Amino acid sequence: MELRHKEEMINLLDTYIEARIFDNRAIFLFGHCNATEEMADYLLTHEIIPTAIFDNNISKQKTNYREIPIIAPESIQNYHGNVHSQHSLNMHLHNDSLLRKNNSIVLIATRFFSEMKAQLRRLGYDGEIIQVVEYNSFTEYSLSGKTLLDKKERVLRGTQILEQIRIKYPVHHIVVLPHDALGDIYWAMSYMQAYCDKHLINDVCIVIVGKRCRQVIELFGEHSIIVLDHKAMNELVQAIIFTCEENCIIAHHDYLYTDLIIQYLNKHFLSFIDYYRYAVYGLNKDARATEPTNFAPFDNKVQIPKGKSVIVSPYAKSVVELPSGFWENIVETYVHQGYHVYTNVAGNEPPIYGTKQLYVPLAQMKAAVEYAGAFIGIRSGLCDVICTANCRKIVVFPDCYYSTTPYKVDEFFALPGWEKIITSE
Amino acid sequence: MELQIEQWKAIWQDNSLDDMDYILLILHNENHDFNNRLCMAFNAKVGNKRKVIIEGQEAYDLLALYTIYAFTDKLIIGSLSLPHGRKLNNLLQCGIATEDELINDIILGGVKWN
Repeated sequence: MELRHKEEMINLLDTYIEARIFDNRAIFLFGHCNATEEMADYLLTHEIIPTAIFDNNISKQKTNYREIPIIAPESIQNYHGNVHSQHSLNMHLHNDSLLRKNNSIVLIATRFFSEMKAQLRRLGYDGEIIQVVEYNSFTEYSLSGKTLLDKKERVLRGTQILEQIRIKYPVHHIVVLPHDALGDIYWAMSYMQAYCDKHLINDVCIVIVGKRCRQVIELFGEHSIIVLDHKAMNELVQAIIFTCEENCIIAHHDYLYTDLIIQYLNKHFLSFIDYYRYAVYGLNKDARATEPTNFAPFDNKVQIPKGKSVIVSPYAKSVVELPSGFWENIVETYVHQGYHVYTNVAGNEPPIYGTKQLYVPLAQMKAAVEYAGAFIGIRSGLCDVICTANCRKIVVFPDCYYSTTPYKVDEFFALPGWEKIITSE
Repeated sequence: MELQIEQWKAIWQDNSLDDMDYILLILHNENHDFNNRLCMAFNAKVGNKRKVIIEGQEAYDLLALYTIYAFTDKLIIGSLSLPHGRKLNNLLQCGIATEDELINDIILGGVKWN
């Protein structure tokens, strides 16, 4: 979960906690994902115990997170909203379980808020449904005057952004990489050249969000790059759809509400990497991924021993939590074998106990792991960035399903040629 | 644009589409055979639910409204390439999905039928 989203979520939860909104209520979370786990963690630290996590994925149901059961959303039919609207139950108010049963609230921290809210309403739930973080400005199930006005102004702002880009790059093919995830950027860039070759595209302008994405693009050479903030990116994407902008591609497998290619996974398998090759760019199986060539040499400021070091990368923003003690056990094993173990950190991330912290610029990361000799990382975009490194590479997957699909994350996000560890509680 | 938005909204309201469970837009950029198979599959899946199939200019007007934002989850857009940017044709042209799979597993496959 990105820091800005986490702060937004915590601010809202704090407001609710302070106002004692959760007291004597059954609290449900909807959608088992990293953000929901973070929300559950935060509530638990305040001794607020969610009743259950709803998830539509049958594969996730009957499992649990920190002893919170993951169940089908249909279970909400046993609950109501505010007890005060249930006058027939007033006589039972002394019964705490019944009070909670008839006084519930649902908290949603995924980008599918509108869809989930609509689903709960269809199931007859009349209680409060709270969006604890706003991920998605594309969806709002309303035709009210205010909503229409807001969305009209939003698409107009996007049109102005598009016009500004076209002033600067009138004939370039605009490649929009809307999501600021390193892995998405990496594979979009890997297959972009084959896409350009297929369509005889010479000049490309790449539109991205954030500096880290720029660093990934620069690994692939010099390009014309425009960096937007998240809000402007969403407005631009909306304008491209609305104006039917030609000479342009929105290169993502799961970002657009208007595109349905991710639904293919409901019944058929296609890996994350192949999504870019086939579904996003429409290339055939012979299309070759371009390898980045602009990696920098490793400056080794902290003097890690060559060939006898392990770099561990335990942090990812969108992966559900690994079992406690997992990384410590890994570290202990390698230290016991005589390796020097380092935790790759950014910002305030703490190193794993028993390791030294190591900050490596993204451009040096491939050379750093090759120098160290081994890399062990949770599945994240960093794994994609260093996937061509010539060293021992081990990727760690939580044992869970990808989104609402029947496929495990280790299947969807598979990295050919890597050793793999799948963890479960 | 404001006038158009009001016109598009009026189509939704005048046809009482909020009272429907599913609304299928048939768009004539797709071929006749595709649209026929889509309608048949839609009718087979929808069962006794309230449904309507919209064709012609009204379908394109509702599509335009949908390209400003997702204002409903009841709308099914019967196209491989619309709204602008939809990439289902890629799956077809790469040979990893058939047209029937695209209709049944993707266009209709993402719809909650309960």
